[in-house]
Amino acid sequence: MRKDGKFVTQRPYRLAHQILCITAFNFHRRSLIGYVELALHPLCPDLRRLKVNSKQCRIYRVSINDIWEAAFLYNDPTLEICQGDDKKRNLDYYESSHQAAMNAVDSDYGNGEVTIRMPPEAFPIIAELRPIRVCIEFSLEQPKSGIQFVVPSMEGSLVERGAHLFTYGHENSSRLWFPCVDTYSEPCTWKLEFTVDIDMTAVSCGDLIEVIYTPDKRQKTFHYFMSIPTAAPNIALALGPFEILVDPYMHEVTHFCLPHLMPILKHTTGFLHEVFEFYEEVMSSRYPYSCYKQVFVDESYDEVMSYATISILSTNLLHSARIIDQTITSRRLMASAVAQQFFGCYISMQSWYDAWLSKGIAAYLTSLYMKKALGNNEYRHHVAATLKEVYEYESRVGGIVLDPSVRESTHPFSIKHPHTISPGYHEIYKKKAFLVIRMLEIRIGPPIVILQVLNKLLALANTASQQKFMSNSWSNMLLSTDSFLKIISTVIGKDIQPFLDQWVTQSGFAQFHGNFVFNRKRNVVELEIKQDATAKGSLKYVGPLTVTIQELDGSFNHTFKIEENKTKFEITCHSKCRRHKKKKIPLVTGEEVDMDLGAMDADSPVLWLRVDSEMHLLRHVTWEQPDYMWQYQLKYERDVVAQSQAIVALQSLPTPATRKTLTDILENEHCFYHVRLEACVCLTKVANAMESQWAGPPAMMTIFRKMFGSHSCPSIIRQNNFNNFQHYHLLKTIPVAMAQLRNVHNICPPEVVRFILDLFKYNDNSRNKYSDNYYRAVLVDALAATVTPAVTTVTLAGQNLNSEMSSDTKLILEEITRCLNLEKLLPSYRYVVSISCLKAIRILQKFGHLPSNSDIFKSYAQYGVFRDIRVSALEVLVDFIKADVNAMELNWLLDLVDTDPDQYIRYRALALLIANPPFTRTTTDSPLNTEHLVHRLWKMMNTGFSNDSRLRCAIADLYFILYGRVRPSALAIPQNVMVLNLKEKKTLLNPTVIPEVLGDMFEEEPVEVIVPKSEPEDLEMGDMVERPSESEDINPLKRKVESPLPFPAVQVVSATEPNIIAEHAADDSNPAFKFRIKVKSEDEGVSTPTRADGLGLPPVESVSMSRLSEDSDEDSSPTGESSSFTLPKTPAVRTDTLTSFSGVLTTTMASNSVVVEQSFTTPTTAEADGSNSKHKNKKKKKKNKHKHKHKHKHEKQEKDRSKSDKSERMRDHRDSSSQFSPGTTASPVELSQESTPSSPEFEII
Amino acid sequence: MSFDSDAHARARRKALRVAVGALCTEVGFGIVEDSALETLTEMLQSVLTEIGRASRSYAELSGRTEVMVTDVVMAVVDQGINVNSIPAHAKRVNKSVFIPPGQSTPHPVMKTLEADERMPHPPHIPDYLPPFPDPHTYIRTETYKQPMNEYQVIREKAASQRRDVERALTRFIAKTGKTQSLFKDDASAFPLIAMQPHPQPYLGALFPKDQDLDPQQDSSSSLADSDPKQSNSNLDNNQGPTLDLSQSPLDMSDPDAIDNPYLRPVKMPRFKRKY
Repeated sequence: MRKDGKFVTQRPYRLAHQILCITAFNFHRRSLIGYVELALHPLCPDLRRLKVNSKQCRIYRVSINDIWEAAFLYNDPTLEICQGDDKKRNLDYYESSHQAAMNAVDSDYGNGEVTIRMPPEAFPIIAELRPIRVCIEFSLEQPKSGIQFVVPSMEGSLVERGAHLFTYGHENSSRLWFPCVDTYSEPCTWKLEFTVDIDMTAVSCGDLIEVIYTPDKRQKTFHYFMSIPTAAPNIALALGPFEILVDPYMHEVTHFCLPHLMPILKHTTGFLHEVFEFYEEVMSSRYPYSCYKQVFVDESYDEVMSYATISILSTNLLHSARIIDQTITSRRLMASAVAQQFFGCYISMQSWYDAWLSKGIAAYLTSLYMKKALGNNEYRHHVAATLKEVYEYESRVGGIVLDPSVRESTHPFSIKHPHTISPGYHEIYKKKAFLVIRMLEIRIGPPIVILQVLNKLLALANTASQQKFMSNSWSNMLLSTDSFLKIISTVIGKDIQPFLDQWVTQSGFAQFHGNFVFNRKRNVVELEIKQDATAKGSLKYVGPLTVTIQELDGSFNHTFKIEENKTKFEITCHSKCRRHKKKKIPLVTGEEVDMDLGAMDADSPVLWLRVDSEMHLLRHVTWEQPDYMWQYQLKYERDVVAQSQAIVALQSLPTPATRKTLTDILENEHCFYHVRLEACVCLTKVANAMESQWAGPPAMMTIFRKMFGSHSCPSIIRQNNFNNFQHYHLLKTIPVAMAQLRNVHNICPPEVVRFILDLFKYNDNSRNKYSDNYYRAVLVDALAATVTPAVTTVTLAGQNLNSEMSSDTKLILEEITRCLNLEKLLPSYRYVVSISCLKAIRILQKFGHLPSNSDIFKSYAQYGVFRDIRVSALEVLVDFIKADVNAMELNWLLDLVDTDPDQYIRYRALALLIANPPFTRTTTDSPLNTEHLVHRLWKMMNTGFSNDSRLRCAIADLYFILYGRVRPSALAIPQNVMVLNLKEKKTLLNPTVIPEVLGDMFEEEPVEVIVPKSEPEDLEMGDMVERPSESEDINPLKRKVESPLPFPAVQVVSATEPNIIAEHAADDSNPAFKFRIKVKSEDEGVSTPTRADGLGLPPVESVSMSRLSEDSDEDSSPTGESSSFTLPKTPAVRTDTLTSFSGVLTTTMASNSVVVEQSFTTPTTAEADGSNSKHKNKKKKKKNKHKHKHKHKHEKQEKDRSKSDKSERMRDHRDSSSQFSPGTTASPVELSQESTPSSPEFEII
Repeated sequence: MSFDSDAHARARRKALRVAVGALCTEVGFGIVEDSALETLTEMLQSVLTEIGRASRSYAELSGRTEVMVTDVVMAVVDQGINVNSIPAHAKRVNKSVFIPPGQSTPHPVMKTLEADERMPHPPHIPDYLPPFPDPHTYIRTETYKQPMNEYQVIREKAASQRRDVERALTRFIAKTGKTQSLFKDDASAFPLIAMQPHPQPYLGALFPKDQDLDPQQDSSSSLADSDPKQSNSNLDNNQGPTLDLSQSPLDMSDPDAIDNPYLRPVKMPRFKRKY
């Protein structure tokens, strides 16, 4: 794909134009039928086969130029990732196969699921490189993914029911609903035609040219034309009985919603013209397309999906004028959809390695709009929050590499392909991309500069889009890291390569840990700033770092150069230490304030210090300073980020002064509302820590009454009036914060419970112009937060728990049931109150006030309930599964993941399981941890979710959380296999097998196998990718022959093996004692020959091809296995470098257990570290070798875990070291292909 | 007033009876039966009433309002009475004279509702106009005790009223429909209305019914653009979001004037020749 920094596509053709025509939709059968026509320009005269992407579709016919029929083959290795192997269950193996499978259908590698063989009649045209037209007729029936048919099951016609459909997908997934070249790097113009029922509207990309009745006038055809080159993944369709709203401000913008929703559609989209105006103004560039459409659909895949000129949004984003909270969210999402029209759709990424640019820029533009709409404070707060979120993910899970072209993954999944990454990673990836673009904005000068760069990009793309095909300028429609680099250097003359090296191609965060002391004699502040480069997700930062010091005489910035091993810095103070009497203190904003300096050290002029106050870096700072400094910082620093930071620090410093400061902030109307909310939460913690010395009413009670109590009677809350949004947010936060107060008995003070119950009672929204639904939901939350574990309700079976409930709990329960029941009759917006009630009921159950029962939640989680409720019910159920260790519910949940019609719910259910797993790899004795579960999850990710990468990767995530990279412990150990736990020096065997004494596999030194940090690649696939194009002539012929008869092909495998082996043997057959010295040279030595093999040996390719073709037939998937059974046993053959480890043998390699084939015939000893003198010479030799092998592995791991080729080798070597060939007498099921790569003397005979 | 006229009528009647009785005595009767006396009185009264009425008619016929002697004479003549005999009759010898009946004193009004001094007429009102009514008819006096804190009570009352309604409603629904129970063994405690899946769940969620605003107020809220917070928030940098939530989209001038492909009519299929 990318070589030497240049993007190279291996498609032997270029796409000029594509027609997508769908002639019929059937909602009842959930099917559609149509054809596509691709206008191709061959790039090589001997083009004989071409590959396009298509999944799920049934292809009827392929014709070239309408005249010649072409033969085609369908072959999709992603349908089953680990083929024909039902024993191996470790994730590393899965993920390497996964990436290989994905690459094997990746159009950028010249691959695809459908291979079309050019008919001989077309050869002359191709030889002249004249364009050809490939027409593919296809149909789609009951698609599992890619297109969502929403057909409510009720009476009435389709229109009355609001039946509709829309397409969706994770990154490039258009192949799920029509055959195409499914990559961002191949834009072309489009003609789209959809024939639909007379009362339906089809909304798609591009300009609607005309709508024409069919001759029978019962249907009509929508003709769309997309004149701007667009990549297939950016094509979408929505079809339904939509209500149409033309934007009153911009007539080229059209909004669509389901029937009955028009009033709220009008309100929700009323602001959208401002977004367009804003983007056009800041980038001084016109909106690139001629139209824009927003379609609000039910059961959407995600909140917002943006495609060329069309965005498909969740209908749940619509809201009326009375709703406050949703407004901000909805507007943010709609603004982001428009931003993605500029970057993402119009200018799309060239490859996955460049995705950070389009995603980051779109998010950056969105944040600029939100900054304009909500103010600078909100923006800074958002940046700080995103920074924190990304830091937390990276330090918990691992680093995120924005451009993974040169780096290997440190994750259990491959980050090199959008369809293999974890969905959680994807989320954070987008956020990090935004942060990096923002950093870049700061790096290259004033904010206007980056906007000029964006303007330049758009200008180039505009010119390109006007060009005719084949002028090669369409590449300007694509954004890659290189082209971006070039543009920046032309616009501002700066080279940002160092910046990219630091933040884009490298993962992690800078982590600073610092403190300081004031040296009175020298009038100098001595700083110590350390970096923690060993922590997970961290990076060693070298470069400038700004430290801001607030002294009595003002605020000053100091920039230090952070270098390696330098930790001490000094700041000379401007102020003389004796403070002037009653002088005002200038702040960074220029204003001067009076401060009470009584709290601080009389000799020191330092008020507070901040590191990287402007958030110029991706960093996490742990900063130490005395509590009074934090208090000054909170009170007087004008930056909201600094205030938040001070609040976090003050949480652990509960003193009366802290309490006073927090109270002041809470009451300060000039303070940013987020800071005030944070102060609330912090005050709760401070109050709880100070419980013994707390006097007076519970914290915040007085403040609340002052702010919200009615004039004549402060204990009764005023009628709601939410015109002041700051107060609205405080009103929502204070009750929850108060509910978390605990007295000396660690229960919530009774007056707080009464206070909250009174809020319920006196809530009166009759004169409010806004809805109070969120407030009421928060009250339920608050009530739930007051609940503490039940004292001891020892209930015998059948005893009525109700009678033992405390009166407070009864009141609480009554309130909750009333709210929940009322919601059925008078629902609140998005059922927010119901959601809070469900969570509250779970809390009551959890604390023993109610019997634990999941039936209620299951009824709320079923299909047909509003999505938000379902999600929260699922969240509760996941918690239930974990707490009650309930296997039945877990199965129920997995069934839901398997079968639910709503894709989003399926994904959310998994995401919730990942966030709150029922057990983890460290808990070994969970009854949920069964073999059945392992197989089920494995099946789901291996074959079940082959059409939805998001689900598939989420399952892989869950698998990792539950089992880690090792073979799941719940699995029975196969008979001929032994699991060695090298760390604990234990061996595990299948209990049915009598453990025989093992050989001296371990001796003097404790051996430890380190988890590979890098993702091994499947070489087989790699080879195929690097296949020279000439060999293509051979393949189709082979394929034709091989597909029905896999055996010859496999025999080819075995035939080829010796060649490779020979080379390897030559490599490895050095005497064992030299092995350690050889390590380095072998690293290169091994990897190069392998590649050479791949290039030089056509049979190897045919192997891979044959394997793929076998897989294309789902039913015949076991053939791979069976074929391998038929292989002649060739002991001592070393094949590991090329094979995909299929077969019965389980090879699990991981941190602490290694599977080794047991040789029954070998007398072995189980002494792990005892040195055995009685061993024979032969064994000694082997022992030595073994030892060195491990050593060698150690060194390798330490040395270079980042280089891709090597890491690949590394795995193989680890395998080789941990698996011992069984020798000739091993059980007959063993496969030579599988077996281990050891030199002949390595064997135990 | 009817009471008054009754009293007068009775008094006149009484006088007539006395007169008839006296005439009878004059004529020579010693005893008279009650019914006879009554009949005679009735006759006399009729005659007198008729004379009065007729004389008034004559007066009015002559365009006058005051009755003159001549009118009476005409009336008497009309009755067929010889006018000339009247003086003789008046001067007859055995004329019995009887004392006029005593003046009846009006009952003093019971001043049970005396509230205040009756107001004298203000100077600009002549005295002949009726006096003010009794003060109790216009002076308002509180008939109950002022509560200590009205607001609190009203809020309390409103809150409990609403709560009662809500509780009754939910209980009713819970009793009549399907329920779920939080307790396995006691289904009646804290019943929850069962969740019913709906084919279009978003409709309920997006059109909440919990809003107790009447539509009139709702429409006015969209006009209230000038939020007070807008003015003060711009002054200070440290303020939160000031989103203008209430935007009314421009009135669409004329849907026909907008050129949007989705509004265009559907075209007819191109004519295809069939052979």
